Amino acid sequence: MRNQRSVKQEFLRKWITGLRRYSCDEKKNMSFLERKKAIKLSADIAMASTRDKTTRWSQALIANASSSGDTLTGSSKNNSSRSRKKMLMMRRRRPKVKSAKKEMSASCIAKRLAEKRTRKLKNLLPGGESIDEGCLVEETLDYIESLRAQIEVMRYLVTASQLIINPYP
Amino acid sequence: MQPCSREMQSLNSLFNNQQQIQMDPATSQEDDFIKQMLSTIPPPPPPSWNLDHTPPNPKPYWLDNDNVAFPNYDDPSTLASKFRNHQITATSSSKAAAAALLLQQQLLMTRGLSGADSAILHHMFDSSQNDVVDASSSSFKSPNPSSADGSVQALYDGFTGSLQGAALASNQTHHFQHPQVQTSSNPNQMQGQGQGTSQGGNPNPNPGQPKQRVRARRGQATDPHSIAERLRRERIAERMKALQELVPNANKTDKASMLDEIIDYVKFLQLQVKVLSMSRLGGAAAVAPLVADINSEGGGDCVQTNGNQTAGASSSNDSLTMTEQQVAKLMEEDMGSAMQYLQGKGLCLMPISLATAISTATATCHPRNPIMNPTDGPSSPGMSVLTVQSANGDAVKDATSVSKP
Repeated sequence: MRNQRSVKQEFLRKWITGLRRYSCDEKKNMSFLERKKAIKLSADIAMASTRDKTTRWSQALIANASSSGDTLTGSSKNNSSRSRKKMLMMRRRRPKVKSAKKEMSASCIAKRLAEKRTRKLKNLLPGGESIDEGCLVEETLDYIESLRAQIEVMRYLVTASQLIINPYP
Repeated sequence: MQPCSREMQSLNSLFNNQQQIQMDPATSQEDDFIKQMLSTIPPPPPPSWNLDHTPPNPKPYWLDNDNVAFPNYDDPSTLASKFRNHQITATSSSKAAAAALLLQQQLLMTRGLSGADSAILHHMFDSSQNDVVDASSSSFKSPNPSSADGSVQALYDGFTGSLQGAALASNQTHHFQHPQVQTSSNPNQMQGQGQGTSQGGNPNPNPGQPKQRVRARRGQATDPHSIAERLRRERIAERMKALQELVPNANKTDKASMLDEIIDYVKFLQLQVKVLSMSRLGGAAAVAPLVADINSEGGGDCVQTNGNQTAGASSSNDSLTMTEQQVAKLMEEDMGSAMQYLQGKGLCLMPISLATAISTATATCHPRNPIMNPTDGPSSPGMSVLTVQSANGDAVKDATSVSKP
């Protein structure tokens, strides 16, 4: 486990800079959804950058985000379609081999169950489609850790802002 | 001697048309051969001829036997030479030789000539480089490695040349492992024994000497592929153990259920991030517990409870009306976006009856939770927007009851 504290601090710093960029750039009021997307995206990018591109999922996250460009307004649709196309292509490159086994031994069943689950996990992970199974577990580990750190930081920020706005009576 | 004559005939035919391999009749002839040879062979004396590195040339081997006084072994010697010719002519169809070999081996086995078996098989396997073969060969040697009969040696001399391909050997091992399968406890030692008896009569340049192989554990192979596989599996296992500590509820031992837990946890975390990022919107702008009556298109059907209560704060009238107006506008356009907006503020949409029920219930239980009932708003009281605001101090523990999309 890395030093959680420093990771969180770094994440917070980067996230705030990202948010600031958004608030400075956008003159008009963003709609609700756009704002949410902006926040989430900046948080994701900050989280991924704390990894400094050492892990596969962070690279994929950043790649997806940078392909979409910096502005979210209006381009979100394109992004989603593009990323979806990418994912589809990647999926087609690795066709699922569904062998019709006549005899279903216990090991076969177990293996198939595990395969299904690993595929699900791969879909969950950003950039996890084309990941080697051996690295999959590593990446998941890392991703879970980063997600937890991110969530904690966000939560602290929210409560802090709440307290600022509405101090204790 | 009838078998001899038959053998001579076949030999002649072979010499005449070396390119033609008529395996089936030849095999049948060999079959009879073998049977007769086996019936006529007395317990074999120790070998007296030198058999190391006889080159696999088409020299008729049986001619050499004239030097040796083994009248009874004409058959096996001719048989050996015949097999040799087969080997020479049938280099392309090594499988034919393998088939012949197989047949002969099986017959020997059924006859129960353990000594012959071990000698033959040992030398067969020596020429191959398969680890599995090695193990089985050692097991075969165990019965009686010391009795290598001359006939058998002649035979295998012809065979080793034909056993170039490892595929051959592997094919044969499949057949031979059934009758005598023993897990070898000391393959190297056995190999040394076998070597001593046969004097390494291998014309092939493959390592007949005991190669220092990694001794396999019981039930595990030693070729590099499976070793790599094993390492990989161990790596994965230790990573999964580390994951187990991270993920709650991870006391499952089964891999599939562990994966299930992991998947659920990752989904949950991602959802949390999404919700938090949504709630953040209100945080900056002092999200107030909002109470408003909203114009209802449908009847009170949609109830989306958002348990995220970090968006609770004291309300100011400005924000209230602003939110109300905003929500009303959204509702006109698209119900979904209105829902999301409310969600972001930690609000939910529910029928009035339910709202009143909740308010009475919570009023009795948690008096410190101020629950604001619907006041009049810009529209008809078909629906009410209600927030349940926990105390600010409770803002820390939240997001546990996040609605799943």
